[in-house]
Amino acid sequence: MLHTLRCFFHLIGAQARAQMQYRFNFFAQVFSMIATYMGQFIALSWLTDRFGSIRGWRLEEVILFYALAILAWGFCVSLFFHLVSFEDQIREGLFDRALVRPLNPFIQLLAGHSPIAGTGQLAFSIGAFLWATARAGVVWTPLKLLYLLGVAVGGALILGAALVTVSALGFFTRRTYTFYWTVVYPARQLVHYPLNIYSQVVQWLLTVGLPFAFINYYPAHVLLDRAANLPWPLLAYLTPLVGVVTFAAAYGLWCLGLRSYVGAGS
Amino acid sequence: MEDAIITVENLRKEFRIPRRRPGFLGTLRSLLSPEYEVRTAVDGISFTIRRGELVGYIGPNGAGKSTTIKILTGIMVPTSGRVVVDGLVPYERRVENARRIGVVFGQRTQLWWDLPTIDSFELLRHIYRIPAGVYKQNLELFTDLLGLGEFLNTPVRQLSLGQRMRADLAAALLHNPRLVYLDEPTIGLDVVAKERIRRFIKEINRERGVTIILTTHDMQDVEKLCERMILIDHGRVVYDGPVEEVKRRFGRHRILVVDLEGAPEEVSVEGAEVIRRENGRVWLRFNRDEISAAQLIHRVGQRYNIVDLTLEEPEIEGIIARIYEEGM
Repeated sequence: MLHTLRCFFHLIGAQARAQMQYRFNFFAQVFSMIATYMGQFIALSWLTDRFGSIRGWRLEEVILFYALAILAWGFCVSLFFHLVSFEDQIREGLFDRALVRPLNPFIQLLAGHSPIAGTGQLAFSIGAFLWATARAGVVWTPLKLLYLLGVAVGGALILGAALVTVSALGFFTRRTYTFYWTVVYPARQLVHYPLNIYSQVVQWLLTVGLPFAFINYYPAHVLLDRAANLPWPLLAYLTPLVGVVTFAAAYGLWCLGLRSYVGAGS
Repeated sequence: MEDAIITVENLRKEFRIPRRRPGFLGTLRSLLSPEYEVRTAVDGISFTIRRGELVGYIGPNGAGKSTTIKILTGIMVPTSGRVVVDGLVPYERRVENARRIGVVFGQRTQLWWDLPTIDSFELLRHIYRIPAGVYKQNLELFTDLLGLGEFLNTPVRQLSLGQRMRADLAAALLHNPRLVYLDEPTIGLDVVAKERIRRFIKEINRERGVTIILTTHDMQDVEKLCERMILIDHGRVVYDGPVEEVKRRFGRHRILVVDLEGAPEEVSVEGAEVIRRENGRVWLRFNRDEISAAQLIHRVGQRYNIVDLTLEEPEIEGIIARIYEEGM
Protein backbone atom coordinates (compact mmCIF):
# COMPACT_ATOMS: atom_id res chain seq x y z
CA MET A 1 0.00 0.00 0.00
CA LEU A 2 2.76 2.37 0.99
CA HIS A 3 4.72 1.27 -2.06
CA THR A 4 1.72 1.95 -4.28
CA LEU A 5 1.31 5.42 -2.81
CA ARG A 6 5.00 6.20 -3.18
CA CYS A 7 4.95 5.07 -6.80
CA PHE A 8 1.85 7.19 -7.40
CA PHE A 9 3.68 10.31 -6.29
CA HIS A 10 6.81 9.45 -8.26
CA LEU A 11 4.71 8.95 -11.38
CA ILE A 12 2.71 12.13 -10.85
CA GLY A 13 5.94 14.04 -10.27
CA ALA A 14 7.38 12.68 -13.50
CA GLN A 15 4.27 13.70 -15.41
CA ALA A 16 4.48 17.18 -13.94
CA ARG A 17 8.07 17.48 -15.14
CA ALA A 18 7.02 16.27 -18.57
CA GLN A 19 4.21 18.82 -18.64
CA MET A 20 6.62 21.65 -17.91
CA GLN A 21 8.14 21.04 -21.33
CA TYR A 22 4.98 22.34 -22.87
CA ARG A 23 4.65 25.63 -21.06
CA PHE A 24 2.95 27.39 -23.91
CA ASN A 25 0.30 24.71 -23.98
CA PHE A 26 -0.28 25.24 -20.30
CA PHE A 27 -0.85 28.99 -20.63
CA ALA A 28 -3.01 28.55 -23.69
CA GLN A 29 -5.15 26.17 -21.67
CA VAL A 30 -5.52 28.58 -18.77
CA PHE A 31 -6.49 31.45 -21.04
CA SER A 32 -9.05 29.48 -23.00
CA MET A 33 -10.56 28.29 -19.75
CA ILE A 34 -10.83 31.73 -18.25
CA ALA A 35 -12.51 32.91 -21.45
CA THR A 36 -15.04 30.05 -21.30
CA TYR A 37 -15.91 30.64 -17.67
CA MET A 38 -16.15 34.39 -18.07
CA GLY A 39 -18.69 33.84 -20.82
CA GLN A 40 -20.79 31.54 -18.66
CA PHE A 41 -20.44 33.86 -15.72
CA ILE A 42 -21.54 36.91 -17.67
CA ALA A 43 -24.59 35.04 -18.97
CA LEU A 44 -25.43 34.01 -15.44
CA SER A 45 -25.13 37.46 -13.94
CA TRP A 46 -27.08 38.98 -16.81
CA LEU A 47 -29.91 36.52 -16.17
CA THR A 48 -30.03 37.20 -12.47
CA ASP A 49 -29.71 40.94 -12.99
CA ARG A 50 -32.70 40.84 -15.31
CA PHE A 51 -34.87 38.84 -13.00
CA GLY A 52 -33.42 40.00 -9.68
CA SER A 53 -33.42 36.51 -8.39
CA ILE A 54 -33.89 32.93 -9.52
CA ARG A 55 -36.45 31.05 -7.47
CA GLY A 56 -35.61 32.94 -4.31
CA TRP A 57 -31.85 32.94 -4.83
CA ARG A 58 -30.03 36.24 -5.13
CA LEU A 59 -27.30 36.73 -7.75
CA GLU A 60 -24.52 36.31 -5.18
CA GLU A 61 -26.06 33.08 -4.00
CA VAL A 62 -26.41 31.73 -7.50
CA ILE A 63 -22.76 32.58 -8.03
CA LEU A 64 -21.98 30.56 -4.92
CA PHE A 65 -23.66 27.48 -6.47
CA TYR A 66 -21.65 28.04 -9.55
CA ALA A 67 -18.42 28.56 -7.62
CA LEU A 68 -18.88 25.43 -5.52
CA ALA A 69 -19.47 23.40 -8.65
CA ILE A 70 -16.34 24.63 -10.36
CA LEU A 71 -14.35 24.28 -7.15
CA ALA A 72 -15.13 20.57 -7.09
CA TRP A 73 -14.55 20.40 -10.84
CA GLY A 74 -11.15 22.08 -10.34
CA PHE A 75 -9.99 19.33 -7.99
CA CYS A 76 -11.58 16.69 -10.18
CA VAL A 77 -9.90 17.89 -13.37
CA SER A 78 -6.48 17.91 -11.71
CA LEU A 79 -6.76 14.27 -10.78
CA PHE A 80 -9.22 12.59 -13.10
CA PHE A 81 -9.93 14.41 -16.33
CA HIS A 82 -7.55 12.31 -18.44
CA LEU A 83 -9.71 9.27 -17.66
CA VAL A 84 -12.15 10.49 -20.30
CA SER A 85 -9.72 9.43 -23.03
CA PHE A 86 -9.02 5.99 -21.55
CA GLU A 87 -10.73 4.21 -24.43
CA ASP A 88 -7.95 5.52 -26.70
CA GLN A 89 -5.40 3.72 -24.54
CA ILE A 90 -7.41 0.53 -24.78
CA ARG A 91 -7.84 0.83 -28.52
CA GLU A 92 -4.17 1.49 -29.15
CA GLY A 93 -3.13 -1.34 -26.84
CA LEU A 94 -1.20 1.04 -24.59
CA PHE A 95 -2.96 -0.17 -21.49
CA ASP A 96 -1.20 -3.54 -21.70
CA ARG A 97 1.95 -1.81 -20.51
CA ALA A 98 0.33 -1.17 -17.16
CA LEU A 99 -0.62 -4.82 -16.84
CA VAL A 100 2.93 -6.14 -17.12
CA ARG A 101 4.16 -3.93 -14.29
CA PRO A 102 3.91 -4.86 -10.62
CA LEU A 103 1.70 -1.94 -9.67
CA ASN A 104 -2.06 -1.51 -9.45
CA PRO A 105 -3.17 -0.63 -13.01
CA PHE A 106 -5.79 1.82 -11.76
CA ILE A 107 -3.10 3.74 -9.89
CA GLN A 108 -1.01 3.71 -13.05
CA LEU A 109 -3.96 5.09 -14.98
CA LEU A 110 -4.58 7.84 -12.41
CA ALA A 111 -0.89 8.71 -12.37
CA GLY A 112 -0.73 8.78 -16.15
CA HIS A 113 -1.29 12.46 -16.42
CA SER A 114 0.16 15.65 -15.03
CA PRO A 115 -1.98 17.33 -12.38
CA ILE A 116 -0.39 20.60 -13.46
CA ALA A 117 -2.64 20.66 -16.49
CA GLY A 118 -5.53 21.11 -14.06
CA THR A 119 -3.90 23.66 -11.79
CA GLY A 120 -5.01 26.56 -13.95
CA GLN A 121 -8.56 25.34 -13.57
CA LEU A 122 -8.04 24.81 -9.87
CA ALA A 123 -6.55 28.27 -9.27
CA PHE A 124 -9.39 29.87 -11.19
CA SER A 125 -11.95 27.80 -9.26
CA ILE A 126 -10.53 28.79 -5.91
CA GLY A 127 -10.37 32.47 -6.88
CA ALA A 128 -13.95 32.47 -8.11
CA PHE A 129 -15.05 30.67 -5.00
CA LEU A 130 -13.43 33.14 -2.60
CA TRP A 131 -14.92 36.05 -4.46
CA ALA A 132 -18.38 34.47 -4.55
CA THR A 133 -18.42 33.59 -0.85
CA ALA A 134 -17.35 37.14 0.01
CA ARG A 135 -20.16 38.58 -2.11
CA ALA A 136 -22.75 36.12 -0.88
CA GLY A 137 -21.90 37.20 2.65
CA VAL A 138 -20.92 33.75 3.90
CA VAL A 139 -19.93 33.95 7.54
CA TRP A 140 -16.92 31.67 8.05
CA THR A 141 -16.45 29.66 11.20
CA PRO A 142 -13.79 26.95 11.76
CA LEU A 143 -16.55 24.36 11.55
CA LYS A 144 -17.73 25.70 8.20
CA LEU A 145 -14.18 25.62 6.84
CA LEU A 146 -13.87 21.99 7.85
CA TYR A 147 -17.24 21.33 6.27
CA LEU A 148 -16.11 23.09 3.09
CA LEU A 149 -13.08 20.82 2.92
CA GLY A 150 -15.33 17.78 3.16
CA VAL A 151 -17.64 19.20 0.49
CA ALA A 152 -14.79 19.99 -1.89
CA VAL A 153 -13.25 16.53 -1.52
CA GLY A 154 -16.65 14.83 -1.65
CA GLY A 155 -17.67 16.85 -4.71
CA ALA A 156 -14.42 16.07 -6.48
CA LEU A 157 -14.98 12.38 -5.72
CA ILE A 158 -18.54 12.48 -7.07
CA LEU A 159 -17.36 14.05 -10.32
CA GLY A 160 -14.32 11.76 -10.29
CA ALA A 161 -16.63 8.77 -9.96
CA ALA A 162 -18.45 9.88 -13.11
CA LEU A 163 -15.14 10.05 -14.99
CA VAL A 164 -13.97 6.71 -13.61
CA THR A 165 -17.27 5.30 -14.89
CA VAL A 166 -16.58 6.78 -18.33
CA SER A 167 -13.17 5.09 -18.34
CA ALA A 168 -14.59 1.80 -17.05
CA LEU A 169 -17.00 1.76 -19.99
CA GLY A 170 -13.93 1.95 -22.21
CA PHE A 171 -13.32 -1.72 -21.37
CA PHE A 172 -16.64 -2.65 -22.94
CA THR A 173 -17.38 -0.18 -25.70
CA ARG A 174 -15.79 2.39 -27.99
CA ARG A 175 -18.52 4.97 -27.34
CA THR A 176 -17.38 6.44 -24.07
CA TYR A 177 -16.90 9.96 -25.43
CA THR A 178 -20.58 9.95 -26.36
CA PHE A 179 -21.45 8.95 -22.80
CA TYR A 180 -19.35 11.76 -21.41
CA TRP A 181 -20.77 14.44 -23.68
CA THR A 182 -24.41 13.35 -23.52
CA VAL A 183 -24.70 12.43 -19.85
CA VAL A 184 -21.92 13.67 -17.61
CA TYR A 185 -21.30 17.04 -19.21
CA PRO A 186 -24.96 18.17 -19.37
CA ALA A 187 -25.56 17.04 -15.80
CA ARG A 188 -22.61 19.11 -14.71
CA GLN A 189 -24.04 22.13 -16.53
CA LEU A 190 -27.45 21.62 -14.86
CA VAL A 191 -26.09 22.04 -11.35
CA HIS A 192 -24.61 25.41 -12.20
CA TYR A 193 -28.12 26.69 -11.42
CA PRO A 194 -30.13 26.18 -8.24
CA LEU A 195 -31.74 22.77 -8.30
CA ASN A 196 -35.20 24.02 -7.36
CA ILE A 197 -35.71 25.70 -10.74
CA TYR A 198 -36.01 22.19 -12.26
CA SER A 199 -38.88 19.71 -12.24
CA GLN A 200 -39.10 17.07 -9.53
CA VAL A 201 -37.84 14.42 -11.91
CA VAL A 202 -34.65 16.30 -12.67
CA GLN A 203 -34.15 17.05 -8.98
CA TRP A 204 -34.45 13.37 -8.19
CA LEU A 205 -32.15 12.36 -11.00
CA LEU A 206 -29.46 14.75 -9.78
CA THR A 207 -29.82 13.44 -6.24
CA VAL A 208 -29.98 9.69 -6.64
CA GLY A 209 -29.10 9.06 -10.29
CA LEU A 210 -26.09 11.18 -11.03
CA PRO A 211 -25.81 12.75 -7.57
CA PHE A 212 -24.28 16.03 -8.68
CA ALA A 213 -26.67 17.99 -6.46
CA PHE A 214 -24.45 16.99 -3.54
CA ILE A 215 -21.56 18.85 -5.10
CA ASN A 216 -23.06 22.30 -4.59
CA TYR A 217 -26.80 22.61 -4.16
CA TYR A 218 -27.23 20.91 -0.78
CA PRO A 219 -23.92 22.10 0.70
CA ALA A 220 -24.61 25.72 -0.30
CA HIS A 221 -27.57 25.63 2.08
CA VAL A 222 -25.21 25.02 4.98
CA LEU A 223 -22.77 27.72 3.95
CA LEU A 224 -25.68 30.18 3.69
CA ASP A 225 -27.20 28.94 7.00
CA ARG A 226 -30.33 27.76 5.20
CA ALA A 227 -30.08 24.01 5.75
CA ALA A 228 -33.37 24.12 7.66
CA ASN A 229 -35.14 25.06 4.39
CA LEU A 230 -34.34 21.71 2.83
CA PRO A 231 -37.00 18.98 2.90
CA TRP A 232 -34.38 16.73 4.53
CA PRO A 233 -31.66 18.86 6.12
CA LEU A 234 -29.53 15.76 6.48
CA LEU A 235 -28.96 15.84 2.70
CA ALA A 236 -26.65 18.82 3.18
CA TYR A 237 -24.20 16.76 5.21
CA LEU A 238 -23.99 13.69 3.02
CA THR A 239 -21.58 15.01 0.37
CA PRO A 240 -18.37 13.31 1.64
CA LEU A 241 -20.21 10.03 2.15
CA VAL A 242 -21.87 10.19 -1.28
CA GLY A 243 -18.45 10.98 -2.73
CA VAL A 244 -16.76 7.99 -1.14
CA VAL A 245 -19.63 5.61 -1.97
CA THR A 246 -19.97 6.66 -5.62
CA PHE A 247 -16.23 6.58 -6.14
CA ALA A 248 -15.95 3.12 -4.60
CA ALA A 249 -18.81 1.93 -6.81
CA ALA A 250 -17.16 3.40 -9.90
CA TYR A 251 -13.87 1.73 -8.97
CA GLY A 252 -15.76 -1.54 -8.56
CA LEU A 253 -17.14 -1.14 -12.07
CA TRP A 254 -13.64 -0.38 -13.33
CA CYS A 255 -12.29 -3.59 -11.76
CA LEU A 256 -15.16 -5.49 -13.35
CA GLY A 257 -14.21 -3.94 -16.68
CA LEU A 258 -10.62 -5.01 -16.18
CA ARG A 259 -11.74 -8.56 -15.47
CA SER A 260 -13.69 -8.63 -18.69
CA TYR A 261 -10.79 -7.02 -20.56
CA VAL A 262 -8.38 -9.80 -19.60
CA GLY A 263 -11.10 -12.30 -20.51
CA ALA A 264 -11.83 -13.68 -17.06
CA GLY A 265 -15.26 -15.18 -16.69
CA SER A 266 -16.51 -14.22 -20.12
CA MET B 1 10.62 -31.31 -16.73
CA GLU B 2 12.56 -30.34 -13.66
CA ASP B 3 14.21 -27.16 -14.82
CA ALA B 4 11.21 -25.98 -16.83
CA ILE B 5 10.50 -22.27 -16.41
CA ILE B 6 7.42 -22.30 -18.65
CA THR B 7 4.95 -25.13 -18.99
CA VAL B 8 2.04 -24.76 -21.37
CA GLU B 9 -0.45 -27.58 -21.71
CA ASN B 10 -3.33 -27.69 -24.11
CA LEU B 11 -3.74 -23.97 -24.17
CA ARG B 12 -6.89 -22.67 -25.83
CA LYS B 13 -8.22 -19.18 -26.27
CA GLU B 14 -11.48 -18.39 -27.94
CA PHE B 15 -12.84 -14.94 -28.60
CA ARG B 16 -16.52 -14.20 -28.86
CA ILE B 17 -17.05 -11.61 -31.53
CA PRO B 18 -20.50 -10.07 -31.77
CA ARG B 19 -21.99 -10.75 -35.17
CA ARG B 20 -23.46 -7.73 -36.86
CA ARG B 21 -26.54 -7.99 -38.97
CA PRO B 22 -26.91 -5.63 -41.89
CA GLY B 23 -29.37 -2.75 -41.97
CA PHE B 24 -31.18 -0.75 -39.33
CA LEU B 25 -33.43 -3.61 -38.20
CA GLY B 26 -30.40 -5.83 -38.10
CA THR B 27 -28.62 -3.43 -35.79
CA LEU B 28 -31.67 -3.36 -33.57
CA ARG B 29 -31.88 -7.15 -33.47
CA SER B 30 -28.16 -7.39 -32.73
CA LEU B 31 -28.72 -5.10 -29.75
CA LEU B 32 -31.63 -7.10 -28.39
CA SER B 33 -30.37 -10.61 -28.99
CA PRO B 34 -26.68 -10.48 -29.70
CA GLU B 35 -25.25 -13.38 -31.62
CA TYR B 36 -21.65 -14.30 -31.28
CA GLU B 37 -19.13 -15.81 -33.56
CA VAL B 38 -16.44 -17.83 -31.86
CA ARG B 39 -12.95 -17.37 -33.19
CA THR B 40 -10.24 -19.68 -31.90
CA ALA B 41 -6.95 -17.84 -31.63
CA VAL B 42 -5.03 -20.52 -29.76
CA ASP B 43 -6.11 -24.07 -30.46
CA GLY B 44 -4.47 -26.50 -28.06
CA ILE B 45 -0.86 -25.37 -27.79
CA SER B 46 1.61 -27.24 -25.57
CA PHE B 47 5.31 -26.68 -25.00
CA THR B 48 7.91 -26.52 -22.28
CA ILE B 49 10.76 -24.07 -22.00
CA ARG B 50 13.79 -24.74 -19.85
CA ARG B 51 15.63 -22.18 -17.77
CA GLY B 52 18.24 -20.34 -19.77
CA GLU B 53 16.82 -21.18 -23.17
CA LEU B 54 16.53 -18.65 -25.97
CA VAL B 55 13.54 -19.70 -28.02
CA GLY B 56 12.10 -18.19 -31.16
CA TYR B 57 8.30 -18.13 -31.10
CA ILE B 58 7.41 -17.73 -34.73
CA GLY B 59 4.30 -17.59 -36.83
CA PRO B 60 2.48 -15.52 -39.43
CA ASN B 61 0.20 -12.65 -38.43
CA GLY B 62 -2.91 -13.94 -36.71
CA ALA B 63 -1.33 -17.31 -35.89
CA GLY B 64 -1.87 -16.79 -32.17
CA LYS B 65 1.58 -15.51 -31.22
CA SER B 66 0.56 -12.40 -29.32
CA THR B 67 -2.38 -14.16 -27.72
CA THR B 68 0.01 -16.75 -26.28
CA ILE B 69 2.41 -14.05 -25.09
CA LYS B 70 -0.47 -12.15 -23.51
CA ILE B 71 -1.51 -15.26 -21.58
CA LEU B 72 2.06 -15.96 -20.52
CA THR B 73 2.53 -12.39 -19.27
CA GLY B 74 -0.76 -12.48 -17.37
CA ILE B 75 -2.58 -9.89 -19.50
CA MET B 76 -5.09 -12.45 -20.73
CA VAL B 77 -6.96 -15.37 -19.22
CA PRO B 78 -7.14 -18.48 -21.44
CA THR B 79 -10.36 -20.29 -22.23
CA SER B 80 -8.84 -23.58 -21.08
CA GLY B 81 -5.53 -25.26 -20.56
CA ARG B 82 -2.75 -24.96 -18.05
CA VAL B 83 0.06 -22.42 -17.90
CA VAL B 84 2.75 -22.29 -15.25
CA VAL B 85 5.47 -19.67 -15.43
CA ASP B 86 8.21 -19.93 -12.86
CA GLY B 87 5.87 -21.73 -10.48
CA LEU B 88 2.98 -19.27 -10.91
CA VAL B 89 -0.16 -19.19 -12.97
CA PRO B 90 0.46 -15.77 -14.51
CA TYR B 91 -3.15 -14.59 -14.95
CA GLU B 92 -4.04 -15.59 -11.40
CA ARG B 93 -1.04 -13.85 -9.88
CA ARG B 94 -0.47 -11.15 -12.43
CA VAL B 95 1.34 -8.66 -10.23
CA GLU B 96 3.66 -11.22 -8.72
CA ASN B 97 4.40 -12.62 -12.14
CA ALA B 98 5.07 -9.09 -13.43
CA ARG B 99 7.79 -8.62 -10.83
CA ARG B 100 9.75 -11.55 -12.24
CA ILE B 101 9.47 -10.97 -15.95
CA GLY B 102 10.62 -8.35 -18.40
CA VAL B 103 8.68 -7.42 -21.51
CA VAL B 104 9.62 -5.48 -24.63
CA PHE B 105 6.88 -4.65 -27.10
CA GLY B 106 8.92 -3.51 -30.06
CA GLN B 107 6.00 -1.63 -31.58
CA ARG B 108 5.27 0.53 -28.56
CA THR B 109 7.65 1.83 -26.02
CA GLN B 110 7.42 1.06 -22.32
CA LEU B 111 9.17 4.32 -21.55
CA TRP B 112 7.68 7.65 -20.59
CA TRP B 113 7.48 9.52 -23.85
CA ASP B 114 8.10 13.07 -22.68
CA LEU B 115 10.76 12.40 -20.09
CA PRO B 116 14.51 11.96 -20.40
CA THR B 117 15.41 8.29 -20.76
CA ILE B 118 17.06 8.16 -17.35
CA ASP B 119 13.79 9.29 -15.70
CA SER B 120 11.99 6.21 -17.04
CA PHE B 121 14.69 4.03 -15.50
CA GLU B 122 14.28 5.87 -12.20
CA LEU B 123 10.51 5.33 -12.23
CA LEU B 124 10.97 1.65 -12.96
CA ARG B 125 13.43 1.46 -10.08
CA HIS B 126 10.60 2.55 -7.77
CA ILE B 127 7.91 0.41 -9.36
CA TYR B 128 10.01 -2.77 -9.25
CA ARG B 129 11.64 -1.86 -5.92
CA ILE B 130 15.10 -2.44 -7.32
CA PRO B 131 17.76 -2.27 -4.61
CA ALA B 132 20.10 0.69 -5.11
CA GLY B 133 23.17 -1.52 -5.63
CA VAL B 134 21.52 -3.71 -8.27
CA TYR B 135 20.12 -0.66 -10.07
CA LYS B 136 23.48 1.08 -10.23
CA GLN B 137 25.30 -2.02 -11.38
CA ASN B 138 22.74 -2.85 -14.10
CA LEU B 139 22.52 0.73 -15.31
CA GLU B 140 26.30 0.88 -15.70
CA LEU B 141 26.44 -2.46 -17.46
CA PHE B 142 23.60 -1.70 -19.89
CA THR B 143 24.88 1.80 -20.56
CA ASP B 144 28.16 0.20 -21.51
CA LEU B 145 26.77 -2.69 -23.58
CA LEU B 146 24.06 -0.73 -25.34
CA GLY B 147 25.79 2.64 -25.56
CA LEU B 148 23.00 4.44 -23.74
CA GLY B 149 25.31 7.19 -22.46
CA GLU B 150 24.80 9.44 -25.47
CA PHE B 151 21.08 9.81 -24.94
CA LEU B 152 20.32 9.15 -21.26
CA ASN B 153 19.25 12.77 -20.84
CA THR B 154 17.31 13.04 -24.07
CA PRO B 155 13.50 12.83 -23.95
CA VAL B 156 12.32 9.49 -25.28
CA ARG B 157 10.24 11.08 -28.04
CA GLN B 158 13.43 12.53 -29.55
CA LEU B 159 15.25 9.19 -29.71
CA SER B 160 15.81 7.36 -32.97
CA LEU B 161 14.05 4.01 -33.26
CA GLY B 162 17.28 2.14 -32.62
CA GLN B 163 18.07 4.20 -29.54
CA ARG B 164 14.56 3.76 -28.24
CA MET B 165 14.73 0.01 -28.67
CA ARG B 166 18.02 -0.13 -26.80
CA ALA B 167 16.54 1.92 -23.99
CA ASP B 168 13.47 -0.33 -23.93
CA LEU B 169 15.66 -3.42 -23.67
CA ALA B 170 17.58 -1.94 -20.76
CA ALA B 171 14.32 -0.91 -19.08
CA ALA B 172 12.97 -4.45 -19.31
CA LEU B 173 16.08 -5.89 -17.66
CA LEU B 174 16.81 -3.43 -14.86
CA HIS B 175 15.06 -5.52 -12.22
CA ASN B 176 16.98 -8.70 -13.08
CA PRO B 177 14.03 -10.68 -14.47
CA ARG B 178 14.56 -14.41 -14.88
CA LEU B 179 12.44 -14.46 -17.98
CA VAL B 180 12.10 -11.92 -20.75
CA TYR B 181 9.57 -11.70 -23.57
CA LEU B 182 10.84 -9.82 -26.58
CA ASP B 183 8.12 -9.04 -29.08
CA GLU B 184 9.67 -7.84 -32.36
CA PRO B 185 12.74 -6.22 -30.78
CA THR B 186 14.39 -5.48 -34.13
CA ILE B 187 11.36 -4.27 -36.07
CA GLY B 188 12.11 -1.34 -38.35
CA LEU B 189 15.81 -1.18 -37.51
CA ASP B 190 18.73 -0.95 -39.91
CA VAL B 191 21.29 -3.73 -40.16
CA VAL B 192 23.78 -2.16 -37.77
CA ALA B 193 21.20 -1.45 -35.10
CA LYS B 194 19.78 -4.96 -35.45
CA GLU B 195 23.22 -6.46 -35.01
CA ARG B 196 23.78 -4.47 -31.85
CA ILE B 197 20.47 -5.57 -30.36
CA ARG B 198 21.17 -9.20 -31.24
CA ARG B 199 24.61 -9.10 -29.62
CA PHE B 200 23.05 -7.74 -26.46
CA ILE B 201 20.29 -10.36 -26.39
CA LYS B 202 22.83 -13.11 -26.83
CA GLU B 203 25.02 -11.65 -24.13
CA ILE B 204 22.36 -11.44 -21.43
CA ASN B 205 21.15 -14.92 -22.30
CA ARG B 206 24.64 -16.39 -22.02
CA GLU B 207 26.15 -14.35 -19.23
CA ARG B 208 23.13 -13.95 -17.00
CA GLY B 209 21.20 -17.06 -17.86
CA VAL B 210 18.06 -15.07 -18.61
CA THR B 211 15.43 -17.17 -20.38
CA ILE B 212 14.26 -15.39 -23.50
CA ILE B 213 11.16 -15.86 -25.62
CA LEU B 214 11.60 -14.02 -28.87
CA THR B 215 8.81 -13.36 -31.31
CA THR B 216 9.89 -11.86 -34.57
CA HIS B 217 9.24 -11.76 -38.28
CA ASP B 218 12.93 -11.43 -38.99
CA MET B 219 14.30 -14.92 -39.64
CA GLN B 220 17.81 -13.54 -39.32
CA ASP B 221 17.02 -12.94 -35.66
CA VAL B 222 16.05 -16.56 -35.30
CA GLU B 223 19.02 -17.94 -37.19
CA LYS B 224 21.52 -15.82 -35.34
CA LEU B 225 20.05 -16.09 -31.85
CA CYS B 226 17.93 -19.15 -31.32
CA GLU B 227 18.83 -22.79 -31.20
CA ARG B 228 15.23 -23.78 -30.89
CA MET B 229 12.14 -22.45 -32.52
CA ILE B 230 8.46 -23.02 -32.02
CA LEU B 231 6.55 -22.39 -35.19
CA ILE B 232 2.82 -21.88 -34.88
CA ASP B 233 0.09 -21.49 -37.43
CA HIS B 234 -3.68 -21.28 -37.02
CA GLY B 235 -3.30 -21.51 -33.27
CA ARG B 236 -1.37 -24.78 -33.30
CA VAL B 237 2.25 -25.75 -32.96
CA VAL B 238 3.44 -26.92 -36.37
CA TYR B 239 7.09 -27.30 -35.47
CA ASP B 240 9.04 -27.33 -32.24
CA GLY B 241 12.72 -28.16 -32.38
CA PRO B 242 16.17 -27.07 -33.48
CA VAL B 243 16.33 -24.24 -36.02
CA GLU B 244 18.74 -26.26 -38.18
CA GLU B 245 16.27 -29.13 -38.38
CA VAL B 246 13.70 -26.87 -40.03
CA LYS B 247 16.02 -26.45 -42.97
CA ARG B 248 16.54 -30.18 -43.29
CA ARG B 249 12.90 -31.04 -42.91
CA PHE B 250 11.28 -28.34 -44.93
CA GLY B 251 14.07 -27.01 -47.07
CA ARG B 252 13.95 -29.63 -49.80
CA HIS B 253 14.49 -27.06 -52.46
CA ARG B 254 17.93 -25.81 -53.35
CA ILE B 255 18.89 -23.33 -55.98
CA LEU B 256 21.59 -23.69 -58.60
CA VAL B 257 22.82 -20.40 -60.04
CA VAL B 258 24.64 -20.79 -63.35
CA ASP B 259 26.31 -18.27 -65.68
CA LEU B 260 25.82 -19.49 -69.22
CA GLU B 261 28.00 -18.55 -72.16
CA GLY B 262 26.32 -16.44 -74.81
CA ALA B 263 23.13 -15.83 -72.82
CA PRO B 264 20.89 -18.34 -74.66
CA GLU B 265 17.37 -17.16 -75.55
CA GLU B 266 15.53 -20.02 -73.99
CA VAL B 267 16.71 -22.00 -70.97
CA SER B 268 15.04 -25.14 -69.76
CA VAL B 269 16.42 -28.10 -67.92
CA GLU B 270 14.57 -31.24 -67.00
CA GLY B 271 14.09 -31.66 -63.24
CA ALA B 272 14.54 -27.97 -62.38
CA GLU B 273 12.51 -24.82 -62.63
CA VAL B 274 13.84 -21.50 -63.86
CA ILE B 275 12.81 -19.01 -61.24
CA ARG B 276 14.86 -16.01 -62.35
CA ARG B 277 17.03 -14.80 -65.25
CA GLU B 278 19.45 -11.98 -65.67
CA ASN B 279 21.13 -12.08 -69.06
CA GLY B 280 23.39 -15.12 -68.87
CA ARG B 281 22.74 -15.82 -65.21
CA VAL B 282 19.97 -18.31 -64.47
CA TRP B 283 18.50 -19.43 -61.14
CA LEU B 284 17.30 -23.01 -61.16
CA ARG B 285 15.26 -24.42 -58.31
CA PHE B 286 15.30 -28.16 -57.78
CA ASN B 287 14.09 -30.69 -55.27
CA ARG B 288 16.97 -32.53 -53.73
CA ASP B 289 14.93 -35.68 -53.28
CA GLU B 290 14.38 -35.91 -57.03
CA ILE B 291 17.71 -34.90 -58.41
CA SER B 292 21.16 -34.36 -56.96
CA ALA B 293 23.14 -31.21 -57.57
CA ALA B 294 25.77 -33.14 -59.48
CA GLN B 295 23.15 -34.65 -61.79
CA LEU B 296 21.61 -31.30 -62.45
CA ILE B 297 24.95 -29.65 -63.21
CA HIS B 298 25.68 -32.48 -65.58
CA ARG B 299 22.37 -32.00 -67.37
CA VAL B 300 22.89 -28.26 -67.71
CA GLY B 301 26.42 -28.85 -68.95
CA GLN B 302 25.16 -31.13 -71.72
CA ARG B 303 22.98 -28.39 -73.19
CA TYR B 304 24.82 -25.17 -72.43
CA ASN B 305 28.32 -23.94 -71.74
CA ILE B 306 28.67 -23.19 -68.06
CA VAL B 307 30.99 -20.31 -67.24
CA ASP B 308 30.47 -20.28 -63.52
CA LEU B 309 28.11 -21.70 -60.93
CA THR B 310 27.09 -21.48 -57.26
CA LEU B 311 24.75 -23.56 -55.17
CA GLU B 312 22.41 -21.76 -52.77
CA GLU B 313 21.37 -23.50 -49.59
CA PRO B 314 17.79 -22.93 -48.54
CA GLU B 315 17.41 -19.79 -46.43
CA ILE B 316 15.20 -20.22 -43.44
CA GLU B 317 13.52 -16.99 -44.48
CA GLY B 318 12.31 -18.60 -47.69
CA ILE B 319 11.27 -21.80 -45.95
CA ILE B 320 9.17 -20.00 -43.41
CA ALA B 321 7.66 -17.79 -46.07
CA ARG B 322 6.61 -20.89 -47.96
CA ILE B 323 5.15 -22.44 -44.85
CA TYR B 324 3.18 -19.25 -44.24
CA GLU B 325 1.85 -19.28 -47.77
CA GLU B 326 1.19 -22.94 -48.30
CA GLY B 327 0.80 -24.32 -44.81
CA MET B 328 2.77 -27.28 -43.62
